[in-house]
Amino acid sequence: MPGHTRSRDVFLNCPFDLAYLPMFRATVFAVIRSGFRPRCALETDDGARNRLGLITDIIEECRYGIHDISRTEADGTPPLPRFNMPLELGLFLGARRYGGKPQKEKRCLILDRERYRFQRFMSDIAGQDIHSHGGEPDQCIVEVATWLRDQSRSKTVPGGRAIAVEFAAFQTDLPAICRARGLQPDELTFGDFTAMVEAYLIAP
Amino acid sequence: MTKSAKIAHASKPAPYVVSGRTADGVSVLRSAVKPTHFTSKQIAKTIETIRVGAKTR
Repeated sequence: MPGHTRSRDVFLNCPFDLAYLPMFRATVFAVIRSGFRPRCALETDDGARNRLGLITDIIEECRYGIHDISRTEADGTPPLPRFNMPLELGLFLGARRYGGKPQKEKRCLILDRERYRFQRFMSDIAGQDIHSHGGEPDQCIVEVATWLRDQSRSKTVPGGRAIAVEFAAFQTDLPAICRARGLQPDELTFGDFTAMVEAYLIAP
Repeated sequence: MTKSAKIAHASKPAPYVVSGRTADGVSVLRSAVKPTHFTSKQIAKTIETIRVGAKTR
């Protein structure tokens, strides 16, 4: 894997369903507010493109990764766990382990609902520091912002709790912003949402 | 520049585009993907209008 990583790109490895949307949007907001750029598999809606190929390309380009394994739980009939998140975490760790020098600079944050739950389904990652968000978007913002600030060593990025307050204000304004553009908040694509957060954060 | 140097240079990623800065000076980077339902200029204008409206209310 000869490719360079991008020093401000953060790969988001998480579910994309409606139930997880508040957590996903909170994470995206925290990443942009911290001076980084979120990347994920929602970047293209190209049915002709192999999804795993797209994901591995994004993983290769990102120096940072945020992996939420909280939805690795039995579901459906018969009940089976979703393994997409652990698979992509494995790809990210593999790139760091086997890739060239730029890939070895990769860093990741692993999130779960409870700190030691992973030991029941992915005990091989014992030794990694798993952070708990308790299923709360505000706590997720605190964990993401604290970790990114530590990575960037920035002295200007505010703390996670302050970013969570800003996110709450953004969420309050979001319906009016969407209405003005003839949209509902749940119709926003990943590109729409990131552009909206960018414009909101730099608006005078 | 040698041929191999050109190839090495070409593999470097393009620099980030800074969309702007927050009030406390944090650089906001332009997204890797463009919006679908509006342009960046349109959404910036919309947010500005809504903020001005909220302030004058």
